[in-house]
Amino acid sequence: MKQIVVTGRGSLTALGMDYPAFAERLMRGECAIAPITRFDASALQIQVAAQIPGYQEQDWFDEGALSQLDRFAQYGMLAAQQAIREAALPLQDEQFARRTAILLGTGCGGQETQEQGYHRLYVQGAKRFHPFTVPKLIHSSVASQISIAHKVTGPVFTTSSACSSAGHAIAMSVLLLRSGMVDAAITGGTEACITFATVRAWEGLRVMAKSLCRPFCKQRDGMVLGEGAAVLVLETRESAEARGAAIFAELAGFGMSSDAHNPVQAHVDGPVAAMQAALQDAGLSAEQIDYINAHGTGTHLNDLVETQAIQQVFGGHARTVAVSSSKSMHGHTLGAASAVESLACLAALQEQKIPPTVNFLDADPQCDLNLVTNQARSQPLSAVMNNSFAFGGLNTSLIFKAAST
Amino acid sequence: MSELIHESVLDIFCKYATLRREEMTLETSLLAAGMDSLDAVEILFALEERFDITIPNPASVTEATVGDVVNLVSKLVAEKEASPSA
Repeated sequence: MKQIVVTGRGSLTALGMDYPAFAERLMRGECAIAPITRFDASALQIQVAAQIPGYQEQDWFDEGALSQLDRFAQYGMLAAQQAIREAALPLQDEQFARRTAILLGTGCGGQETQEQGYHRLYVQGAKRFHPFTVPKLIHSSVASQISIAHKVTGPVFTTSSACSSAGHAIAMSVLLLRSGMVDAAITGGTEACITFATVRAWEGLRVMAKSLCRPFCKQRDGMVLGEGAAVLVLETRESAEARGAAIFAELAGFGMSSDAHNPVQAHVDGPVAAMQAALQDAGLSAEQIDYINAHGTGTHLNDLVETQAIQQVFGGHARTVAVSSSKSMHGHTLGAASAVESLACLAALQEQKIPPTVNFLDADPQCDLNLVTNQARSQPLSAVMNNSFAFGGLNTSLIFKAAST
Repeated sequence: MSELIHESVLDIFCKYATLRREEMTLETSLLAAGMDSLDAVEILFALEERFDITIPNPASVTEATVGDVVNLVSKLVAEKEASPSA
């Protein structure tokens, strides 16, 4: 089976405008959750989020481009540009461009465009939408805009499975690469739904924390929305070596599963199946996993169910495998989460250091795991796992290994 | 009214054209003024918003001239004003 490696990384998150900034602040244990500033949130019950600080779209795109790019597509475009640049993909070569895929995940797509459009239509009495409204709000716009900007002509599409969207995009990229259909894939996820209506809708679920996200601890009281994008360039090892590209890690395996249980209530069986499938695909035993970047949303139920699932899959090793949730720092980026947290895994492998779960107060006896709390922990890491368990019971688990030569 | 429409059309064109306002005559096409099909879509929308009209599906907007656009907008504005609901 072809080996799949990571040759490019890009991100735009509340922890910084690129991957190096993200990795640095992640390992410092910085929490980017803050009061919402993008709009007046005073009427909301939930007034905090992990926003990209200081982001002004005019700083990055001209007026013409902005009429076609919703915020989620802007984030995706910028992260993709960084990853493509780092990988130095030879996309000017038409043959290479045809054998390159773009697969981006997003849960909400052009939410801001929809919301602003409906406000104009229903509240302000506007009689027409801007002609680019449809191409701007569709979930696939980010993939097609990256394709247009970088002249990528292979398979290009978007996956959508709520909080596992990016996990599914990355998994599908691996399948395309292993099948021999493409040699490179620009993949990850993007999300930008910190809007008045979205936050109000999330309030209805009664899963939101009012101040901070504290996964796995006794005082946890919910999740905090984040935003941003993360993009990886995946390549077959043959392709990367043939062009002398730097290899940052290996994507050793993935697992996908569905709980087939409940639209919002997580179930142990689905996450167990996803993690087991990932281990099997990577040809690793549970004991060979050194660190799990958990889904760890900080809701009472998720963290409980994820703990039970890890205990079931890892058995006795569940007490030794290190676990943390970086969502406590960059928020829950929903459709981008699996990609953002893949980058956290890559940073962990590169620095041989585990990013912490910050804001952690007291241990919850029901979340009896080897949690890395409040401060990054240095330890040797060879293989790490990244979990994403979405509403609707849609699960992905990815395994990355340190780059071997 | 036609003079006002002419001025408004030029105001909107100037946002997208590479030619200066005084370089555009009634015979200048959008293409010749340096505008592409994406600019044309923005211009149609701006005209619709400015005059509260609906411009029907255009065949080849970039080949249209300043004069064509002024005439079309004048016609649609006149039709709107003549309609009973106006």
